[in-house]
Amino acid sequence: MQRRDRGIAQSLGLPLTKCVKESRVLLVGAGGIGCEVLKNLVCSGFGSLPGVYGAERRASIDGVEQVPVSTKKPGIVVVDLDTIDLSNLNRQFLFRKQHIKKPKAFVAKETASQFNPSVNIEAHHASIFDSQYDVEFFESFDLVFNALDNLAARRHVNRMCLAANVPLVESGTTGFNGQVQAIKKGVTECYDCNPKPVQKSFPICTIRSTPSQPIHCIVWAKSYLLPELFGTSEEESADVAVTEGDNAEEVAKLKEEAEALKNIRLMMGKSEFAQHVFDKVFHDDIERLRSMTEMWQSRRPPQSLSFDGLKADAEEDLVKRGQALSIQDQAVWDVKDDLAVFAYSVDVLSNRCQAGETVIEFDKDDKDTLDFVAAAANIRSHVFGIPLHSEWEIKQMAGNIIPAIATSNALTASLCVMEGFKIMRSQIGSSTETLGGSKMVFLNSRSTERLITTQSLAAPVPECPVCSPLYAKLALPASGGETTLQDLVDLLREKVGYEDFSITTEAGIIYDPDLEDNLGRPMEDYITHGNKFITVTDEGDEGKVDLVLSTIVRTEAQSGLQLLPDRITLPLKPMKEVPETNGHAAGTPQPVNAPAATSSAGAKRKREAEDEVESAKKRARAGKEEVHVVDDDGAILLDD
Amino acid sequence: MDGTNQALFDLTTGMPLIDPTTQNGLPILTHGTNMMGNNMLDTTAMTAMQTQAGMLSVLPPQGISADEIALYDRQIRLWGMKAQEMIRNAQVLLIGMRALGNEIAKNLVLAGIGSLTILDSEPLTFEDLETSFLVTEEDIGQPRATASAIELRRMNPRVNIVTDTETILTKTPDYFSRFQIVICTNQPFEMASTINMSCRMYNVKFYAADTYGFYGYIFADLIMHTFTITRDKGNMDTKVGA
Repeated sequence: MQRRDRGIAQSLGLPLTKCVKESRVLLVGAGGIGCEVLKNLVCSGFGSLPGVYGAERRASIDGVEQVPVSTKKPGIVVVDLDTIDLSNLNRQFLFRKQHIKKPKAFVAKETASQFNPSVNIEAHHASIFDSQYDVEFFESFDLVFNALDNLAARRHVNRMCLAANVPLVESGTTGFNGQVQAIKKGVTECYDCNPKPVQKSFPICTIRSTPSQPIHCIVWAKSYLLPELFGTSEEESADVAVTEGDNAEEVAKLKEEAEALKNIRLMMGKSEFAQHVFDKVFHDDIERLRSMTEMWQSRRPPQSLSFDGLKADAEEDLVKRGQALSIQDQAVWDVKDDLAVFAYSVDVLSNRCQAGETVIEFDKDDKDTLDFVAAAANIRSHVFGIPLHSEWEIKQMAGNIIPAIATSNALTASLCVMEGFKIMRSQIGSSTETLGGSKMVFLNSRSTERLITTQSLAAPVPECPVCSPLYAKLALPASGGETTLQDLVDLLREKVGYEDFSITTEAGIIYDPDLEDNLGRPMEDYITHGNKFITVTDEGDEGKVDLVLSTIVRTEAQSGLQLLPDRITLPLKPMKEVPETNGHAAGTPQPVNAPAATSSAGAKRKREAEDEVESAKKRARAGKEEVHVVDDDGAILLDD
Repeated sequence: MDGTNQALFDLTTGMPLIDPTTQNGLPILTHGTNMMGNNMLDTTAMTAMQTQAGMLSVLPPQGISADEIALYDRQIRLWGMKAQEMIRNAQVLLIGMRALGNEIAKNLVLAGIGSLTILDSEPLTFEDLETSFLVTEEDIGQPRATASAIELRRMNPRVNIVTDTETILTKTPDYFSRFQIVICTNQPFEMASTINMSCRMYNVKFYAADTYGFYGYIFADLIMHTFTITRDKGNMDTKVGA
């Protein structure tokens, strides 16, 4: 008998193969990893069977709507907001030259569909942050694969999958290396259980006064000089921050310098504009720095340059020469060449500004801004005795380009789908191991040992603010307007058994026992998009975990708010180890909040003591002190 | 890297091959910036061999054009311009065009090698379609090599794709001399071993590989291959071999 799926059926066995074919999976990203994962999913037959799918059925208990009981429609959904670029074609093999500028999701679907005619692929050219991708969207999948290239999106999908209780296969590649990790709420660590390194930001004095590496000069050109001249100078750059180590006096002086530059900006359009800018930043400001002799006691002092001095006897049109040089992006221009490119790029950017472009920001694919940054960074490097670089090299540093090849992505994508098989095997109960034996997998091509290594998946971090809460849904009536915050507060008291609690949205606290101003406001004010969360924090003594609500809007008639599931019992927060201090029994773990005394005789005293506890905790929250409450006669001991 | 259990063996004598300079077992290639190593493209030796074999199909080494730099930008940033030039001039033979062949061909073509010769005499079957993403149902009955070449050429028109649908049984040793690397997939041991012998005669590097469901193997005989692992110097002392 001819079978198109013989290989997969022999390898996975028939039950798991059927599960794979009936599955509905989400692929976030159709780039390097995404193209390869899609190929693997399609060839393995994910979502290629019609399955048991019909009109959605909703069960009703006591007239109250329950979670839809329908089974999912098999298929693969691909979401990607990007369009195809030439530099993608060395690895994103679903795309061809004629597809440049087209949306990745659509072209990926078109090409991959040919690998298996039975597969159902749905392509979305959109951002995964869009409100249509709410918790119910994520709930419709058996498995989610991340094929992203940025932290923010990964964290967002992580959270949505936790809220929807759907397993997530997270992955990434850098150069020759790659990594794959399965995430499931309550079973494994989530993406945020361990802090991820934040984008590096440099101290302002390093950038503005004492650079020592090419990157300092590049950040100066990209995040200071370019915005000051051609962008909104008020904008705060993520690259530069005032840190504790910075000299306050110096920071003030730097502000003055920026002000002076603003005045020079007014000269834009005049032929001497480039010269004035040059002499200000490469001569006057440098001379001022040189005068701060303490700064150069253990450092090489910068050497200032003058526009005319550097231009010297060059007869040709400087701007024209700069234009010719800017094409040679592989060559390392000497400082005179950089002067020409500087003059040229200032000219081009000035024309753009005066033609109506109010804000010009650095974009590595905007050649004019790249020319400017490269030239300015190189001149500054020369001033400070730092080696110069070609524009091609500067583009990588300024644009945060990650080198990428086909093979690392191909290998990592295979590992993703392998882990996907393990998770599915656990879903159909044919494995006794946690999550089907899924592991964290590392591809390390530089390793002197194995190319591929694994590590057991860790249990969730108990205090992780992202995965320790209990997630539920809050259904709002479509008509809206009638339900108020008070309705939510009442609902939470009734269904969850809350007494004292606070409610927070992404914007801040909207309700707590002391903040009742907002109770009359409509719920509409707090719910603008489908994928935002409302966090409910228990302020009582028992220390329950947070409750995080995803909001969904009902299209049918519904009176008032509804919690899904209808009744919620919150587990307690895990015990925290209390550090040894005076006045505590050594080594006894205590709950973060003090246990409530239960005798009714001391009820009034208890209430007074509780009030003191509350105010102490409020002070503690404000002052970040540790508060440990010892349950004897209501006395409170504060740690120093 | 442990040289003992990953050393190469002389297939005729069964004795480990020793690097005469270091007296250590010859190491198997792992990834490194000098992936294509210094020995790989010794053009004077190559031209000598070509003249000997009577074939002058090797492209002269050329600089990379601006268009190619734009296309290969992200990989050049990883392994450098020199490595890309060497890749661009590489002549590779791929034997077998089933699942494994599809993957290998895709990766080689995307990297931008000089030419890829695909040797496979078998026709495409319905069952091949499961894993051969370079072909479709319409190609059933066509030789696998020629059917998959069409999509490969579209994937990267700069790579010279040559197809050979003759059976491997008729290939004499000198057939392999025109390549720098031979990748032999889906062949039984005896055939792979014989091809390895032929490659050795002409100093051609050889890989054998195959897959069986969730299992697979890769065997490498690079005869003599040196490479350097470079690391950024950290603040702390690193033990060699750590």
